[in-house]
Amino acid sequence: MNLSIFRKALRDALPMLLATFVAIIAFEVLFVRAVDEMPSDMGSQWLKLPFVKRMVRTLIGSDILDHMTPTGFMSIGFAHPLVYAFTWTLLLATGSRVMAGEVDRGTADLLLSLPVSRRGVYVSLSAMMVLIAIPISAAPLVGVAIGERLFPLQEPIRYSPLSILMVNLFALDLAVIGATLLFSARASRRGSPIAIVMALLLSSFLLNFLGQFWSAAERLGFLGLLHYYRPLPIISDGVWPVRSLLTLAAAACLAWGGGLWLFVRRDVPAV
Amino acid sequence: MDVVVTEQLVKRYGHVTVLHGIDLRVPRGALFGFLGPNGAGKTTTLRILLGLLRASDGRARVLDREVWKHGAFVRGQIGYLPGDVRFYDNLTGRATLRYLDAARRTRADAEIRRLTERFDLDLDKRVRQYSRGMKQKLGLIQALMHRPALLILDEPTTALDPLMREQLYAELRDVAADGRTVLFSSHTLSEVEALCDRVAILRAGRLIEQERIDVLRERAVRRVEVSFKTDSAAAAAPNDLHVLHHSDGRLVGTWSGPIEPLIGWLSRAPIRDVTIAPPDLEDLFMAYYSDRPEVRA
Repeated sequence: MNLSIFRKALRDALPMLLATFVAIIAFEVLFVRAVDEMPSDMGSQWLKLPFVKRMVRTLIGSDILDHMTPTGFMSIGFAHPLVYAFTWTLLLATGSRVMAGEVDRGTADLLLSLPVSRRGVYVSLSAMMVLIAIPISAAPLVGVAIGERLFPLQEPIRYSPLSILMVNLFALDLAVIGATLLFSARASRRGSPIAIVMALLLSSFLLNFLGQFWSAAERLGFLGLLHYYRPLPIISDGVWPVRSLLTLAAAACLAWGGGLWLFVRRDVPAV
Repeated sequence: MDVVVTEQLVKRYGHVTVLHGIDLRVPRGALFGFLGPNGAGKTTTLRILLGLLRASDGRARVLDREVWKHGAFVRGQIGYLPGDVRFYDNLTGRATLRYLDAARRTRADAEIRRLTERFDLDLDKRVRQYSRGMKQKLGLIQALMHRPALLILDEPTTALDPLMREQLYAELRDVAADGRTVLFSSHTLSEVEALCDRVAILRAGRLIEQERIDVLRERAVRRVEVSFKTDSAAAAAPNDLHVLHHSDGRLVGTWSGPIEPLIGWLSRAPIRDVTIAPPDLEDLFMAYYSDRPEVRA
């Protein structure tokens, strides 16, 4: 690993990392406030609407009506499309910039003519990606904690299942990073890894959604990454989702290894 | 010892072959010009030497190491200026050089100062504010600052004004005098002629010449004009003098090869005036570029 490459990549990612971190925290704070202010009967009526019910079940992996507690509601905050949008924008933008982006901009000539092996470059950039995934995965929990302090709820939030959720989210982020690095390692244009990984994530979401009323989609659901991130069952049971964590970790490692294999063998074309 | 050795180097993109078995040898301490028209394969060859491209076949060795296998070591000995150098726009020139210096794990502060003065570059501006010429100077400084054993420069004089070109030539002569090697590509003959002691010529992915420049100069054609005191004197001209025009005691022709036989004949002939132009390498190189068969004779 080359520390200078790692530090520069981290410095480049820092403004967007901070903005994303603050945005997720702000969203969670507002979410806690919304839960605090929402009349209990209004919430349950709204969540009984078939479309909303299915959408929420797709997001959090179970029926929220069975767990109408503040901690149960927080599972929606941990899997809200806005949180995904913030997180994936950061991970895809940063992950695609560090390899495909260097080739795209023409700066790969400088980077890859340094006396550092391709493996060293890849590891340095991957380490930076893993590092930025830590605060981003922790941001929802930090936001909920700040939100609860500012807007105390009638029933206190249980943080131990939320911590498990944070680890699950971190594993999901690692898998997204792995996929981004895999497709970025071979690409010469930054747009292609972003488009491919985004398409994979949206397909995964769609499979989970369709799986609720279409058995064929349900059977294929295991192929998508989001299948292994189901916040509500974790919150209700408080049990570590070992299989999901291992699956996400394995997907991350396989994709990362594939990216490394491609990156050390690829040609770097002139601009 | 040869610093760069390639053996039957081939590069293919799918079914398209862009390098057809290149055998290149660059001796240590040489100022080596790599000439060829656009698209000849110069940049591809240089990028293989840096490990940016992987050869489809054949071998490429730098400082006695396989480039692809020992990429990090080899690149540690090389200073490289890409043909179209790009930097991180948000960094200043100074921050760029510091980053590259740290990533190379060298301490080039003194050399950076010296080169910055020589090339007269403001390092405190952001790269996005640099003109093309300033970016080229920054590219040259980053290639030179760690005093590499081998400098690979892809068309280094692009965007440099004549004054800066002279500074670059002087710097490259110093590098070669220091026993280090310079390999630079160009499609401009005049700068290769002014600077290099050796040259290789590439055309359509094939190496068609690799020679010392003084040997090529001997092979080049000189223009000869002679006025004779008598009209019949030109009849005894040596066979190697290719007569283009002869009338009224005046002969115009071309001469290639060693000059002694021509001088010998002129010293015996009743001449009124004579003009022998310097060897015209331009003509020789144009012949190489355009595949005129007589050039190989």
